[in-house]
This record gives sequence, C-alpha cells and structure tokens, in this order.
Amino acid sequence: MTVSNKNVDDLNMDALDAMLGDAASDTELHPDEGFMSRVLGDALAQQPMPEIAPLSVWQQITGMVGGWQGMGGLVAVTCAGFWIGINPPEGLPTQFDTFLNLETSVLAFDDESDDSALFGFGWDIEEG
Amino acid sequence: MPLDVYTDLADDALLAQYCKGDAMAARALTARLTPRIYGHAIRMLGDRAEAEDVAQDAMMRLWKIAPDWRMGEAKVSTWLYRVTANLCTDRLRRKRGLGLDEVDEPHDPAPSASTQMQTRERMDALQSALQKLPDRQRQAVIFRHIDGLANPEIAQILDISTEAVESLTARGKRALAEILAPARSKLGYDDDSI
Repeated sequence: MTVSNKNVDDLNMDALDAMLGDAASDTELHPDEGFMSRVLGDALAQQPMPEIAPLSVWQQITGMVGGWQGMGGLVAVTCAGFWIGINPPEGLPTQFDTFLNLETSVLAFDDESDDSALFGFGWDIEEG
Repeated sequence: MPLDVYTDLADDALLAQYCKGDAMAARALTARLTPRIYGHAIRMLGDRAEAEDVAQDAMMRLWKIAPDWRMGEAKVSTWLYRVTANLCTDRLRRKRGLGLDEVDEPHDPAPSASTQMQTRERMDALQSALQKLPDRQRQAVIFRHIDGLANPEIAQILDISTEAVESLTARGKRALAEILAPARSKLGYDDDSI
C-alpha cells in the first residue's frame, strides 16, 4: 500500500491505532512486585475480621463444665444422686434421718468385746 | 476455597469474600485490579511514583468501602476507575498550579530492552503525545483505546454522556495523530508497512 492510495490522515490514524494497540499490550508498564506487596499489605491490614457471635448463657455454662460431654456427665451424676436421695439403698441413712439425728448405726455385735459395763447397767435397772 | 475458583469469581463476589476475612480474596483482587488502575494512572500522569501513589490510594479506598459495598449496584472496576480518574485529575490540577517550569517532563517509565528499542520508542512517543492532550481527552482515549473499556462504561466513569465520550475520543485521536505525524517515519510506520 502506498501514499498515493491512501489519504495522509488515514495513514496517521492507522499508525496511531497500531501504537495504541501496542500500548494496550505493553507489559513494561506493569507494577513491580514491591508495589504489589504494599497494596496487598494494605488490603490485609484493612480486612475486616470475621464476626464471632457472642456466646449465649447456656453456651457459657456448658463451656464451663467441659462442653456436651461434661454436661452429660454432670446430668447423669445429678440424676443418680437424686435417685439415691429419694430411694437410698438399704442400710444407708437418709439425708432426712441424718438431719434429725435419727440415723441408726449398724454395729457388728461382738460377744468378745468388753462392753459388760454398758450391758450391766441395763440389767441393774430391770432387776431393781 | 481452591485457588482456581477465585479467577472465576466476579469482582463484587471477591469483595464479599474479602469482607468475610478471606485473605486469598484480597490477593486475587489486588492481582486483578491493581495493574489495571496503575496502568491507567501512569498513562495519565507519566510518572511511576505518582502512578503508584494514585493506585495505592484508590485501592485503599476500595478496601475501606468494601464492608459497605452493595452487591449488584455498580461494577467494582468502574467505581475503581472513577476513583483513579478523579485522583489523577486532582494531581494534574495541582501540578498546573505549580507552574509549567516545576512540572517534571514525562520520562521513560521503564528501561528499554535493546531488542525492543523501536517499540519502546513508539511507546515513549505515544506517552509524550498523550501528555499534550487536554485531561478529559487523554482520559477518554486511554480508557477507550488502551484500557479497552466500552463507551457506556467510560461515560459512567467520567460522568458524561456516551455521545460526549465518542466526541472526546474522536477529538483526542485526531489530536494525537497530528502530534505524532511528523515522527511517523522515524518511529517505523512507513507508508508501505501499514
């Protein structure tokens, strides 16, 4: 293609389009690594922290006793204690008896023991 | 989230991830957006250090506005280009206030490789010619022909009509062609090569 075939303005415009095309793909104008690191540093410094929902009272309590496992153990022990409280095994003084000082002790009777003074006291009364 | 997923995410989706504390989203947004606005700023200002200041400032504004960003209302890149364009305009106005003697001449923004000497010369000549255009024409030409944005998006960024963008780019290109015409042969744009 020669000048005679083309208007001079068109030639200038074609040259300009070529230059602009080169400029669009010009990698020399890419930012350097140091600058990119600074921008990323800003991004991370400004980044909002993920929101942590405040713990409910129930979550705080279960947390204090060791979570679900701890709470399960605590409930089991409480139930067992409550059951023993209302229906104690035979021979075990109830809490109510202990409170009124009515509990009975089961003593193994020992014929060989030297409790003659105690036993003798009763007999004295009976025999007058 | 796997790394390749980030390349498929839209800018506003990445911004939402960023707000959730995702550091990879911060990296992806930085890598995707910073070179674009930096490239625009260096074309507008003709100075690496100033372009870095502007690009860093614009990105900082993006990080700060991120928690309040409303998905789907505006394109992140359009908003960012607009901030960048305004920051560039502010700097150019301040420079003009200093007086012409105090304004640095646009200089070669990168060292040229010997094998690409002519390309470098062309890019330098284009950069010099761009600096001679009025600010709005320069912005419009850079957005349209170097950044590759569509006219409606440029209209949004510059807050003017699409017709005004077309007029600005046409006048800008004509002015550039006139400035560069005397150096056409020197730059290797011979008549037969076009």
